[in-house]
Order: sequence, then C-alpha cells, then structure tokens
Amino acid sequence: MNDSMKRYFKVGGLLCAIGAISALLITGLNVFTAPKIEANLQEKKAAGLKVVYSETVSWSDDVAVSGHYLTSYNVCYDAADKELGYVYAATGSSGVVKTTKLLIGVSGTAEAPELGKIYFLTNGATGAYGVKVQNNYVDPYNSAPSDGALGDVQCGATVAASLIKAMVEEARSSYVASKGGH
Amino acid sequence: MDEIARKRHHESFVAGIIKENPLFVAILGTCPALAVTTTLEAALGMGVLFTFVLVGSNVLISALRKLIPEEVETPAYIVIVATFVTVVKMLCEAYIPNLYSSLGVFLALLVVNCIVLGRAEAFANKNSVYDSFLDGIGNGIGYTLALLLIALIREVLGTGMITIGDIFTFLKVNGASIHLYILKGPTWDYSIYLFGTPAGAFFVFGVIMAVLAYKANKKKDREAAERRARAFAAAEAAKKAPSPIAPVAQVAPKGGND
Repeated sequence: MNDSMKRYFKVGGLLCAIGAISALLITGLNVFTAPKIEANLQEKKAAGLKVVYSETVSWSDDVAVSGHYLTSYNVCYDAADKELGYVYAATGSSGVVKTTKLLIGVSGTAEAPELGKIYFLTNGATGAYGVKVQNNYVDPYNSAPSDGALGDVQCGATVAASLIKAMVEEARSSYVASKGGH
Repeated sequence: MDEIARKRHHESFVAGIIKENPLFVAILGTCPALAVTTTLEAALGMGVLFTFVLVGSNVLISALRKLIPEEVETPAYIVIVATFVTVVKMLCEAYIPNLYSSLGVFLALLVVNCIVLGRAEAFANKNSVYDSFLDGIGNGIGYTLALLLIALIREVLGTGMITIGDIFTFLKVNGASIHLYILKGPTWDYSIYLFGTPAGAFFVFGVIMAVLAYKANKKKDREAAERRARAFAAAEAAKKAPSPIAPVAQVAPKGGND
C-alpha cells in the first residue's frame, strides 16, 4: 500500500470514527428523550381533543385511516359515555406552510355531518404568518364552524387556509364514508 | 498564568460581545435573528441554545484540530456541529416543547449557521481549547444580547407588551403567563402590527445598524479631527521654535544664468 492510499484510509477512518461517535451519542440520548417527547405529544393531543369537543372526558384508541392528509381518528365521549364526534388527525404541507398537524372534529349523521372545531398540533406556518393563520382564520372558524368560515378568502393567509380547508373536507368525506354514506 | 496569556484569554472572551459582535459587526446569522425575534422569550431561548452549540463545537473542534486533516476539515466540522444541534434539538423538544415549536426550522438550521462554522474555521482550529471555549462563550453572549435587543424592540412595538411564561412555562405565576403592558392598556393600544412581521424585523435591524454606523462614524471623525489638530499644533510649534542652525547668508550669484 503506497503512502497516498494510507492517507486516504486514515482520513476515511477518522471521518467514520467521528460519524460513529456522533451516531452513538444521538442514539443514547434518544433513548432518554423519545419517551418524554411521545408523552408531550400525547398530552398535547389530549388537550387538543378537549378543545375540539369541550365536553370530552374519554376517547377511543387511534384508528388508522388512509387519505391524502388524514392519518387516524379518535372517537370522543362525554361523561355519560355518549359519543360527541370523531376527531381526525391530519398532516400536510403546502408552499410556505411547512408540516402542519391538525385535529379536526366532525359529528352528526352521514346525511348531515356537522363540522367541529379544529386545533393545531403543529402550525406549519411560522412567525407572524402563523399568528395570522390562527387569529384570522382558525379562531373565527372555531367560533362557528361552517362551510362559510371554511371558505374565508379574506383572512390574509390564503395558502394555509387552503390547506386547512382541504384537510377539513377530507375529514368530512371520511366521516360520511365511515357512517355508511357516500 | 503569565500576563500575555491572561490578556489573550480576556481578548478571546470580550471580542465577540461588542467589538466583534457576530450580528451587528460581522453581520452573520441574520436569518434566525430576524425570524425568531418576535418575542423576548424565543430570542433568549435561541441565544442560549446557540451558545451551547457554539461552545460545544468550538471546544471539540479545537481539541481535534491536530487530528483532522485539512482536506476534510469542513465535512468533519459539519458532522460535529450537526451532532450538537441534534442533541440540543432533542433536549429542547423533550423538555421545552413550546420553545421547540416556536423556533421551528431555525433550530435545525444552526447546523449551517455561518457564525458556528465561521468560528470553527477562523478561531477554534487555530487556538487552544480554553481560548476556543472563551471565544464560544463571548460570541454566544454577544449574539444573545443582539437577539434580545431586536426582540425587545419588536415585542414592545409589535404587541404593546412583554409576555413571560408562554415559552418558559416554569415562569408562569399561578398557571398564567405574565404580561407587562407598555403600549397597551384596557382602553388604548398603541402597538404597531408591522413590527411583528418580517418587514418589521428588517426595519428594526436596519435602524439599529444605522445607529451603530452613525456612532462608529462619529468616533472615526472625532479621532481624525484629533489627529489633524495634533498635527497642526505640532506644525505651529515647529514654526514658532527658533531654529538650532544659524541662517546661512544669502550670496548673490556671481555669474549670469547658465
């Protein structure tokens, strides 16, 4: 083996060693932080379910659904164990709006589904735009969930609003299908 | 410790805080500085995490500087910085989730932050571990103070108040965030929404840079004026002082012009 080959091996070996130590460190830390991160997410989701249906006391396990945005849903129950509605979890992004995770409430019958409140698990619109999405679109929608509020074109946050509208519509379609409608 | 070493350590620490402030003097790291300074808490969080990454990477790079061959310096540095950023990101997501969601992508982008890589290239790979540690602390404090200044102006002007406890939830009092109303009251509100937006961030940054440039230019002008005054005084003194050499008598030329 000539000198230049030895040098290549030395440099490669050093980079591998640095990478391996980094990987070990990150893996070790992940063992400690992953359960805490998962617990945080569950806590946030529980808080979100109670925002979507304020009378929620208990809820079902996650039920997986397939869709463009939808990932799963939970059925929420009140203190008398009466079904309040379905809360869908949706994930998506669009243009400047990075990964957004949303909880969407839908209740009622297959013939007349009723839209419930929505709640950001992750608002993919950051900074001032994220605040605008929350204040100008999500909050007014949550005060009276309806198709009219869903189609607000004057909120000043068109990209995020369009994404949320698409998510909510998909959740409603999925709810109708799950209740035996078309 | 000898005097020269002590002076060098002091210089390593102090330089980054004001004289070579990474944000206001070197104009580095402006992207996160404009993005995360909407609130004082987010700016403080970013500053502390940034300092941790900078100190950690500076120390490790300095410790390994004789082992890392020149041709792979940059990839090695990026791996080291990325490791620290990932560690910070995981800890932040687990223990300060509100700060994690508030900083968003800008926390991950510390991997390619030009201050961190710049200090690694310009300082840590040429200096001792202790000096690199002090350089990291100094630059971290300088950057944090710069972020806090921008955030203070933006939050006060943009929201009319300072909020404490939204991100660092352990600062809440009786489960509620603390609001310090400054430009806002029960019946009046003088806040300007613009300052909460990216345009407001550029505006505030520009005004601060202009003020600093004005002060720097004023200092330069004053020094130049002092230099000129000293030179003038020296010239005047030289004119007035009697010459030590006796004047030579003028002798008329004997012949005509050649």
